[in-house]
Amino acid sequence: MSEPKITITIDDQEYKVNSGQMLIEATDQLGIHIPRFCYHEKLSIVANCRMCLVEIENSTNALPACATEVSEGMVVKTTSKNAELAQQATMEFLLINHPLDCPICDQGGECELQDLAYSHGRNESRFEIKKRTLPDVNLGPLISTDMTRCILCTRCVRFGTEIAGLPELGTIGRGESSTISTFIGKTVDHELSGNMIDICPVGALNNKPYRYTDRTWELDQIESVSPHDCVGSNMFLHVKGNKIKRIVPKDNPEINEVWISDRDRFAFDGIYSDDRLTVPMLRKNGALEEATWEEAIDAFSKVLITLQNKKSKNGVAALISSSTALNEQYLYAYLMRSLGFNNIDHRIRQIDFTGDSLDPIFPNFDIRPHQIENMKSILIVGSDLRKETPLIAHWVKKAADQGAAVNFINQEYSEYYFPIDNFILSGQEALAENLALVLKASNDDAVNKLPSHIEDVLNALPTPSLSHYQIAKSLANHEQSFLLSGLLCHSHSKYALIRSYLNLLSYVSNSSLGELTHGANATGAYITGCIPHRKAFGESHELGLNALEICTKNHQLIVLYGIEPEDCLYGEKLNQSIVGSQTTVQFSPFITPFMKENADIMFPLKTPYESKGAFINASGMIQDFNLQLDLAKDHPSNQELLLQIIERSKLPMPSLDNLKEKIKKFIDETKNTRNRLLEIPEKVLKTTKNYSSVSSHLYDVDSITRRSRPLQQTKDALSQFNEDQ
Amino acid sequence: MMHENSICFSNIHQPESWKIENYMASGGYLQWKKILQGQPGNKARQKIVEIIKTSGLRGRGGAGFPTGLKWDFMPKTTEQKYLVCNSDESEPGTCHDREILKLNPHALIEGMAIAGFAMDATVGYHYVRGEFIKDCYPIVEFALQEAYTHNLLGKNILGSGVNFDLYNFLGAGAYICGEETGLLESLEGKQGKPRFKPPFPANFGLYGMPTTVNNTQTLASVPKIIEQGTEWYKSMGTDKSPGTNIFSITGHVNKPGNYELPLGIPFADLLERAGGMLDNKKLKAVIPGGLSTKVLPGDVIADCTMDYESLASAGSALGTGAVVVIAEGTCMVELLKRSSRFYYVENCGQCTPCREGTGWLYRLLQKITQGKGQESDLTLLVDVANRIEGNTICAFGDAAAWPVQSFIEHYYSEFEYMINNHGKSIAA
Amino acid sequence: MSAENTETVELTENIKEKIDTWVAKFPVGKQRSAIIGSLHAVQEHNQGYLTPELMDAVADYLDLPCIYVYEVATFYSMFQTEPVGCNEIAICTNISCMLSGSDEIVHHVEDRLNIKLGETTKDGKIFLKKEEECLAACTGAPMMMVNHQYIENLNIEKVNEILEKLEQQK
Repeated sequence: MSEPKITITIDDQEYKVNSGQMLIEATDQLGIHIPRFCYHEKLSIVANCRMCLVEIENSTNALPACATEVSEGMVVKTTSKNAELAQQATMEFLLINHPLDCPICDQGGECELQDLAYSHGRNESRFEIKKRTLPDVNLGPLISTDMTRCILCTRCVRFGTEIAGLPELGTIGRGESSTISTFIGKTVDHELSGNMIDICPVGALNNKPYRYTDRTWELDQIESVSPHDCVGSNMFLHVKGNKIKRIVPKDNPEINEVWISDRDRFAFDGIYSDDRLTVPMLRKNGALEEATWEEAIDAFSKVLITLQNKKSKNGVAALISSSTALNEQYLYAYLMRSLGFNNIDHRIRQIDFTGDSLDPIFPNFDIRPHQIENMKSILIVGSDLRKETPLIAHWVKKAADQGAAVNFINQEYSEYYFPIDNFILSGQEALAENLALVLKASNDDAVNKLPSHIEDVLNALPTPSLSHYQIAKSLANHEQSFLLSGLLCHSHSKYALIRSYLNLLSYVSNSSLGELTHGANATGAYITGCIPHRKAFGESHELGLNALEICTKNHQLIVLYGIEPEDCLYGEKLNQSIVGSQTTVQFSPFITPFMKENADIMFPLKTPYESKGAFINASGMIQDFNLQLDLAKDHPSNQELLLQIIERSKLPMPSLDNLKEKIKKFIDETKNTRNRLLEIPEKVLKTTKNYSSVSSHLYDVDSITRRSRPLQQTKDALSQFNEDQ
Repeated sequence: MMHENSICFSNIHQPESWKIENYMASGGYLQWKKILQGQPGNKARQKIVEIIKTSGLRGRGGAGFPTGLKWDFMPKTTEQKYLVCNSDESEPGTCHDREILKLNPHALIEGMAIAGFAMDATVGYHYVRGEFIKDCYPIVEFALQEAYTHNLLGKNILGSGVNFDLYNFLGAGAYICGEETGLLESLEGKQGKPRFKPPFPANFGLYGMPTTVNNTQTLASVPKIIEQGTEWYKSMGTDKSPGTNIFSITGHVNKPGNYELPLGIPFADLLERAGGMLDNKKLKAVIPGGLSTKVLPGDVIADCTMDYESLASAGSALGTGAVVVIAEGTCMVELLKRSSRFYYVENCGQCTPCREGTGWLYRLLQKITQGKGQESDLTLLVDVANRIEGNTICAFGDAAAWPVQSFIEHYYSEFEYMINNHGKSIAA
Repeated sequence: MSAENTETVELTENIKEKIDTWVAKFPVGKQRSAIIGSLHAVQEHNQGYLTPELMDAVADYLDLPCIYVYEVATFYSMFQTEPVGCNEIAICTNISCMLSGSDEIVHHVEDRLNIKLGETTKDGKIFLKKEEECLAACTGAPMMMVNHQYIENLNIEKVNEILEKLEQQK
């Protein structure tokens, strides 16, 4: 529904604009520039910088464009003498106390104050008195402060309150001594806090790890995608020569708006860790030594061919990270399956595989992230959402801020900064049962009732409580309702049962469904066949061992691609399997003491920050990441490496032509035909396994993140160690 | 003097005038009871609004906005509405609201009840400046208790079906909370930083609900206006400035004090009422309406009458009616410096021109009084003041600019002398 | 929502009651409006100043982010966030008082107490507040507040009497 249009005149030109908006929104859309500092399209209006003052007919004083609503017949002059006088006055006032730090300020070259000082400032200052200074504060390891540069636009304060939902910064004091601070030496800890660096228009808040290293005009900008979660946040890598210097968000209204999480922003530091693997390693005479690429590829192919000829059923196991590029996943699966090895999996944080036969072609996520905002009722199951996928939590908060009912069923309580209608604290054991009770309650008044044999199952359960009924009602009453299952669900010992219940609940309450998955490309891993029960493109196949089974056995050959045992929920078991297996081959960007002791062949990998590729996010959007960096001499790309191994293993060369297009077509076709299985197989119902399920920590999700020095110094990271102790 | 102490101070010379029984003995709360016993519906509400409109009562907090018109801005919807009394008296030179609170608090309470009824605001907040915490705030609390005990406030008052709950609120020391939207922010528990307007409080006020903010004296005038009628009220004062005003006369006079007198009184009469010039000194200058109004030389104000129009056409304003009398021998440079210090410490820090500009003004004046001034500093002072004026979120910027502009305009030679004489004052 | 790097402090029952009285004046969910009243109560009980622990305790009791309380405590000039003497003297020096000789009173008090504006006497008894607001008692100029009691029409003798009384307190 569009707003009615009205006519206004700007700088002697007539325009038709939507009514009900502020003047600055209209001029921004028209490409007419009005200078500003405090105004930001994602934040509330405060009109305190006074930079956007413009002349408006019939008003004695200049008025702020950000706080003046357009009206029929309005006559605006943005560059008249009066407008300029007012804007220049503001600029002069801002510069009298602002320190002449440009030569040493990181913001130089991308500073909104610099730009406007150039256009609106004086050549010389008339202020010949001592400037005031403000004290710096320590906000933590990610954001540096130079508060004397602060122009009190309060964008950072509003970000905390409105976007993060946690007011961490405030304006302390009054008048000239006002300063932005947490007041008593607290740090800023929210997982989206790094975005304050971007929105600060001056050099008051800067990127601490990047501080004093480079000048913005020396950097190249390459588009990329975050490799740390299934959201697929868009980012720009800023590169100088062969090194990534920093990361900033890339605007994508459907996925991450103009924000990225702190993890997305700072994890890349991990690729510069001291334990980076740069050359292949080969175990010769008991010791792991450096080898040439030729030697290593040769040795590996020999092992593969030998085992292929032996045709031993469970001799070879292949694990792969779910944050690997699409092409690599495809080639890895191709390599293994062509050799007859079916024990391949990426699901190293899953322990319940009883639902494998019920698996959808790829994990369900019916909507795009931005569509969460329009949902009116959301049920979140088994998730520490803010720490699993900060950007998804952001979209849920947006929905909640607009009145959506948000309900949780979770094993532990965690803090959220939006109103929650019901929080069912289920504990580990009763997660599935509580979901079933919501399902039971939903079925009571449902139009699409459950099949009778499912109802029988539910009848055996106790009566739902008031909370269960309220949640059921909330989902039923709203057309736009959404079920979101988190990473904790994936790791739960009753995962399959929970997923069955979710499918059923989605049917009964006519809700959209979304499953968060580990890593950046679990969807790709499914589609390329990095699972034991299906080949590429969902073709069924002889069943192989799943990840847990792989980790609890010894093998003749175990191959780890992009995985460290620390990534695995049952890492201890994987360690034992590595020790007990005859041959261990690891493809990894890093080398750990344990692998140095136990690997037989090691291949260096380029991280997604250093190689081109594509990920598919949870919503099925295929996105490219584009930076290709040269590492050590002769270091091939990951794709090239796999192709060489395939060739050396005497297999027909696979074609990667149009793979992305094929996959896109496949996704589009199957999305519409995927039906949710309204079944709960016996074995799923009777699951009695009882492992403790734990979400991987926010800053421990993968090998790169856990090596990022800035992230490991954050409160979140440090508190994890206290918990472990 | 005729019509002296006829409204807010009508009973203050009684002993214990603040007690409810004494207030009632002189007819207090009769008007409120009449309203409650009449048919207290929307017609009755609008009738009261019309009375106040017709009376010509103007806001006494400094802006002089027609009160009835302000009340009429309130939407006639059924949502929660609020009435707020601004007793954050902090304008330098002003001290008459304090006297109302100490000596006639029930006039305010009755005025608020009537105003609340007229606008269908069922909840009122009385914002009292924090420094009054041990001074007149206890009296105001006491009076409020009395009003409740006598069933004059609360729910279904005297069985009329009318609700009006009133609460006292304490500030904590910030001049800017006297600005109506700064006050609302403070009432909401935040820093008292004014909001940009529009939206105006009648549409988006306390907690986002329709709200009217009125000054102490304005509200305390309401019962008498209702009692005596609009003709009586208009018989005092001038055509455009009817009624009385409490003038706080301070500075170099023999009898500084608060005098409730009809508007339009000639300045000379007012000065006489205050006992004339201290030590028989010659009148040099007057700041007629509180520090935030422009200074007028003695010979200019001598021709003025104390009302909105006369003072405006002389280049100043009635403001809060705080008349600061300055005698010959006073250093205008030091006085301006002290005035600038006030705006420098009291600005809220929110918007650029005030936050940065007031410090600049003050430091330039310090420079001059320390003997380091240059002639160009005077042009600079006025230019900086001009750049603050009109460019800020609220009127504080204008208030900070006016003293600088007016002092330098009228007393340029004093500034010049000090600059040329290494900080020595012409008055010394 | 309380601080981790300050020790927690418990508010007395009396103060909690006072805070509750403030909260009751406002609509449900608008307890932020009670911050100023709460800080007055806490400060008075704590010899005239606030500490981070006390501010955190207020935030905790009102179930609000600590930063909301800090913002208020540092904005309003009646709140002291550093330790000060247990008696507060605030001499008004705005225009009406200035014209009536307030500056001499200030100099006299500074000399007498041997401190400057903004400081506390060595024995911790008297805090000479740097008062820059107008105290709205202009007709009684020059004037000062002593522990928020208004004392008007000052002269040197009157001031000396008051100072002696304060110094003789235990």
